Amino acid sequence: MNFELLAQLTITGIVLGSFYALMGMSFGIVYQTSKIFHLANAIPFAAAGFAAVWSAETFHLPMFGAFIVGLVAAVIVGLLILVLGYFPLINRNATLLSLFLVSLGVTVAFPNLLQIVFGTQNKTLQVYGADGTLNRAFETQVYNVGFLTITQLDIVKIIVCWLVVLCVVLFVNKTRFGRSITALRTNPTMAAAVGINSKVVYIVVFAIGSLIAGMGGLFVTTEFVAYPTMALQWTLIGFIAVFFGGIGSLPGTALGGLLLGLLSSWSSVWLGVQFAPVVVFGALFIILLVRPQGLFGKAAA
Amino acid sequence: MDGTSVNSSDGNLLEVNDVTAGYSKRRVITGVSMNVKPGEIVGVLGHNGAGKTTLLKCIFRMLSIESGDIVFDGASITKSSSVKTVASGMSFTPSERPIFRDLTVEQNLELGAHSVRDRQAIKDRMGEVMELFPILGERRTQLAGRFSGGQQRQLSVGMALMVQPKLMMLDEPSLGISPTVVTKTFATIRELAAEKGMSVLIVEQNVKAMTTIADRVYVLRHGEMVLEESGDAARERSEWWHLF
Repeated sequence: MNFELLAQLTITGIVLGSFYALMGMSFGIVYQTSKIFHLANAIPFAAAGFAAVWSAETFHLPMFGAFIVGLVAAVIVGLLILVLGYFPLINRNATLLSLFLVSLGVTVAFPNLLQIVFGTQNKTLQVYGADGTLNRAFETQVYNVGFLTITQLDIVKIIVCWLVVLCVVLFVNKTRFGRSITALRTNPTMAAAVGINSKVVYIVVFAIGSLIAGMGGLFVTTEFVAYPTMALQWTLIGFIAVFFGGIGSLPGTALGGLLLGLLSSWSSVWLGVQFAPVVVFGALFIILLVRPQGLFGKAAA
Repeated sequence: MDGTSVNSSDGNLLEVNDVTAGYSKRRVITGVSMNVKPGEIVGVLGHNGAGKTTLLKCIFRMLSIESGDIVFDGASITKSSSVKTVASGMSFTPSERPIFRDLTVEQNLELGAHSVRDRQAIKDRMGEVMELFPILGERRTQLAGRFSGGQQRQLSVGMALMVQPKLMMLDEPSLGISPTVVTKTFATIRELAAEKGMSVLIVEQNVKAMTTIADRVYVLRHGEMVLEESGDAARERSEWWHLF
């Protein structure tokens, strides 16, 4: 493999890995705090994309206005799943398996609901121009730097993803509320003993997780299209990043996501891009064999 | 605090009246009644599985009760929550993992004062705790998980003190620490109760340690309260096993 190809694959891997890191943060903050295998994190992802497309066309919103509607929709559906789906079971001391089954159920049902409401066609994010016609909201620029190629959207993606990672890590590690999240994650009994309201913490982490999932949905919708089953693959990537990077470590999750992106990109030279999911799951399998707590996770005490 | 204010008979700080509770359909405590007076140290003794921890969790409102009533500081807390009981002046220290291992001493103490909003009060109380347990001051920036069992127990008591509780509840504070440290810990609890006028409710299997400091003792057997006697009577008792 020549240097130019390696460098280009590394750039592609960083872009992909940054997005994996974003998805990892979304799933990770919810899973690590609540231990709920929140597969339904796919729903805010898709909801953001569809809400942005719908609001831009219906209310003639500019792109950023549609993004805000998409993010608000993501947070609302995320919280609805928590309040209407999980809380009633948590109040009855239901097992985590029961919560997962609820999550699985709504994850399967939601794409069907989207198809009923919006139809089966792929949805492109379009905004009204000055001339009153609908045009694709974002046409990305392609930059050639020497022998490297990167798009404007890729640069935005890298910056936004790592800014989100930084904000979440700082929020959890440096704020008083973040310490409540750590407390609940590491010792729920003691968290209750010091008067931490677990439901309030859950609401905040689900809002954050759904907001980040919504950002993911907006990236995919802006770059490609929105479609009812658009979220599942990225949600699964998020959960792989959590277990690969390290349970209990949000920076570990982000770095795990980045590494998975790089591995996925580098391996495409020998295996072809169609094998990327195999590489990602293979890497997780190996890590679970040799280091069950994940690359940067701490072994249970 | 939730509920209607009620007049507490005999000036009790805590009254547990005919409480029945358990997990799902399994009853663990049945018709338990007891009380704690202001400034008093009360011990609840019992064998493993007698329902001691369940009783504390009911009082702290971490576990819902099937029937009965709990009154704290003159108001019913039967329908309250642990978040509100902490704010109303009650602390609870579990028997196992009574600290946050991944956080520093300072962070643990700050979390102990989670319900306190006044930053200066938190700082002042942290200073008092570190004066009481100097080792915590010396190792304030170290992770609590690296501490010995005795030091972790000191930190857990310090965390409870951060809310300046009217009632401090300790679940088996002698668990996992050496007899010498048990003696020291119980002596500290005795001093704190006397100095701050704080009530203490301790559940224990360690009869010897418990009876050295208790003003009054209850014995719980198979979920029912079978004995209540003064600390003096308990200390004079030579035989316990038939009660368990």
